[in-house]
Amino acid sequence: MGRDELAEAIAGLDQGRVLALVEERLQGGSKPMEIIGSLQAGMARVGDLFEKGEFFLSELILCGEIMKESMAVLEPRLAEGEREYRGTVVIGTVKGDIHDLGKNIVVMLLKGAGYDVVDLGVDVAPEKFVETARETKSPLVAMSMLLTSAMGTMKECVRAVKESGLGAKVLIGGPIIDDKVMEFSGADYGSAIASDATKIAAQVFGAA
Amino acid sequence: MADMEKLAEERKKRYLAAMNLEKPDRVPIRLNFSGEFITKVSGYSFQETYYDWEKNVDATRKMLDRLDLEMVVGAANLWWATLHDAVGAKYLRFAGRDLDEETMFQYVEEPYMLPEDYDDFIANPTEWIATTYLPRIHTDLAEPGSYRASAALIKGAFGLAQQFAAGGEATASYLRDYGVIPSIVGISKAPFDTLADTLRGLSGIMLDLYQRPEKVKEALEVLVPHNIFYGMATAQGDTDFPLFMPLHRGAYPFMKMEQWEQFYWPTLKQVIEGLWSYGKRTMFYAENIWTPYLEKIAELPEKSIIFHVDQTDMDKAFEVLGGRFCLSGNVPNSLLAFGTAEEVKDYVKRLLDKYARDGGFILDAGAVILDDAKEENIRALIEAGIEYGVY
Amino acid sequence: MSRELTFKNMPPGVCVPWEAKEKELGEIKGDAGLIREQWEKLDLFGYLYLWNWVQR
Ligand code: B12
Repeated sequence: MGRDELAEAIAGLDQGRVLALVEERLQGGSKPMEIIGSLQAGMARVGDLFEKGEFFLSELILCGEIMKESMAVLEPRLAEGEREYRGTVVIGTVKGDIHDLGKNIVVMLLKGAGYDVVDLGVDVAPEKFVETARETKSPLVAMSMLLTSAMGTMKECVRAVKESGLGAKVLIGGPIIDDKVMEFSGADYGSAIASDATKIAAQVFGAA
Repeated sequence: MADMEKLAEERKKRYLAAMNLEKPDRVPIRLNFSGEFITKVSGYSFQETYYDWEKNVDATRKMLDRLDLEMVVGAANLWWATLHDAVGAKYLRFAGRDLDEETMFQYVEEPYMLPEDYDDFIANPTEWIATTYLPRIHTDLAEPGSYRASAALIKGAFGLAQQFAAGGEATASYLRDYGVIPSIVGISKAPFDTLADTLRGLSGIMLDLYQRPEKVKEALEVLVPHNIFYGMATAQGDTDFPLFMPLHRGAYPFMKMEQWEQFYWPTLKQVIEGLWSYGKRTMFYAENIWTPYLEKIAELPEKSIIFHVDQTDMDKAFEVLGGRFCLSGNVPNSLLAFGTAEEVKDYVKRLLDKYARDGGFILDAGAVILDDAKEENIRALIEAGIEYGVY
Repeated sequence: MSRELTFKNMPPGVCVPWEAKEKELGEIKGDAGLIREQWEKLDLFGYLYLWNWVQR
C-alpha cells in the first residue's frame, strides 16, 4: 500500500495542500467516497496524536475546519444514497450542562471515522435521547458532561435509555469520568478521552 | 458589634499571612461557592436569587447562618437576570424564564466578535464595544437611537449601578454581622481569555491563531492596559485582598507550548505584573490542568499571585512554586459531591500534612463549588481544616 | 470597511475624553479642575459599564 498523500496532508494540518489534493483527485476521476476515506484516515491519525498528547485543541479545531471545507466541496458531488456510514451515533451534552467544546471534538472524530452522528446539542433531556435513539435505531448513545452538578441528570439520561428497551449502549464522557462516576451512572462505557469514542463505537458496531 | 470586627481582623490577618508565605495561627479556609450552591443552602429557588437581588444578598446570609465560614465572595449570584432582560442579552438563559426554575443559568457561546472586527477593536476597543458589540449581543439595542435602544441603555446602566451599590453594601454587611471577610476584591482576566470567552469563542480564537496571528497579538497587546485598569477599578483601589482571575483557555491541552508562550503567557504576565506594581495580588485561579506551565509561572514576582490548584499536579506545583507563591486548593469537587464526610476529612488531613506544613497555604476545593456538593461534606472540610490546619 | 472612529488612542477608563469636552465647552468661567475631576469620575462609570459586558 502506497502513501496516502491526502491523509498525510490532513494530519500535517496543511490546509492549502488538502484542498488542492481534493480538487486534483476529483479531476483525476476519484470517487468522492474514496476521497472521504483518505480524509478520515488523516483524521484518525490526528485523533491518535491528540490522545498521545502530541496534538492540542488548537490543532484539533484547525483539523475540524479543514475537514469541513473539504466536505463542503465533496458533499454536493455525492450521489443520492452514495454516502456510506458505519452506523449512527446519537450524542449530546446532558441536561443542566452547556459545555460543548469537548463534545464537538468527539463528534468530529466520530464523523471522521465514518459514522453518521446525530448531534442533539447541549442541555439535552432524557426523553430527547430516548426519542432520537428510537427514531434513528442507533445502537450507541453518547453523552458528554463537565459539571459535577450535572451528574444527577446524567444518571437519569442513562437510565432513560437503558429502560427504554431499545437496547442501545450508553457511553458517557467528560473530564470528570472516573470509576466512582461510572459506578454511579450505570453507563456501559465511559471515558475522559475523546478518541476512545471511536474505539468504543468500533466495538459496538462491530458486534451489532 | 465590636466582636465581629475583631473576628474579621483575625481572619484577615490569617489570610494575609498565608498569602505572604508566613505561618498564621492556622490554615485559612476559602471556599469558592457558586451562586447555585449558596441558593440551594439558603432554601430559595434558583429563579428567586437570579431575579430578586435582595434575595440574592439574603441567600449568602442564610448560608452564613448555617455554615461557619471565614470568608465569602459576596452575594450569591454574580449576575442579576433582570439586568439582562432589560438589555435583551442573547447569550444568557435563566431559570424560570427559558429554563426550568431549578436549572443553572446557561451561556450560549458564539463568535460575537467577527474576524473583520479586529481592526476596529484594535483602534479603539471601548468605542467598538459601544457601537458594534452591544447592539449585536443585546436585542433591545439592535437599532441604535431607537426608543427601545435608548430605554435599554438607560435601564442597563442604572441597573448595573444599583447592583454595584448593593453588592458593596452586602459585603460590608456580611463583615459587620458575621465577621466574614471578602475572599476576593476586584476581577480581571488574561487578555487571551477576554478575547476568547465573550468575543471570538473557542473555535474562533483557535482558528485565528493560524489564520490571523498578527491581529490576535495586536488585540492582546491592546487589552493589557485595559485589563490592568479594569482589575484596579473593580477593586476600587483595594490592595489587601486578592483580585480574582479565573483562567479559562490557557489550561492544558488548549494550546501547544509554542502557542501558549506566544499568545497566552506574555500578556497575562504583563497584566499580573501591572497589578502587582500597584500592590495588587492576583488569585491565579488555574482551572483544570496547568502542570506543563509551572516553570513559566515561576517567573512572576515573588508573592504576586496565589497559585490555585484544581487538576494541576499538586506535587509538582509544590515543588516548583512552593515557597515562592502561596498555594491553594484542591479538594476534588467529585469528592464533595459523592464522597462521605470521612473521606473528605481524610483528604484534607493528607493535603495539609503534605503541603501546608511551612505555611503559605489556603484550603479550598479544586473548582467552583456547585450545588451538587453535600452540605455535610462542606462541614467536614471546614472541621478538618480547623482541626488539622493549626500550626 | 472600518467605521469612522470618534476618538483614537483612548486610554483605559475613558469613554469621552475630557479634552474633547473641554473644547466644546469653550471658555470655562469657574474652576475648570473641578469640572474635569467630576467629568472623569462619571466618565469612568461609562467605561466600566461598557467593559462589564466583555470582562465576564
Ligand atoms: C470553556 C468553559 C466554559 C464555557 C463553555 C463554552 C462551551 N461552549 O462549552 C462557559 C464560559 C460558557 C462556561 C460556563 C460555565 N462553567 Co465552565 N468551564 C470552561 C473551561 C474553562 C474549559 C472547558 C472546555 O471546554 N475544555 C476543553 C474541552 C475540549 O475539554 P473537555 O470538555 O474536557 O473534553 C475533552 C474530554 O473531557 C473528552 N470528552 C468530553 N466529552 C466527551 C464525551 C464522550 C462520549 C467522550 C468519549 C469523551 C468526551 O474529550 C474532550 C477532548 O479531550 C472549564 C475549566 C477547564 N479549564 O477545564 C470550566 C468548568 C468546566 N466550568 C465550570 C463552571 C462552574 C461553569 C459555570 C457553572 C460558571 C460558573 N458559575 O462559574 C458555567 C456553567 C453553565 C452551565 N449551565 O453549564 C467548572 C465546573 C466545576 C464543577 N464543579 O464541575 C469548571 C471545571 C471550571 C472550574 N475549575 O471551576 N464554562
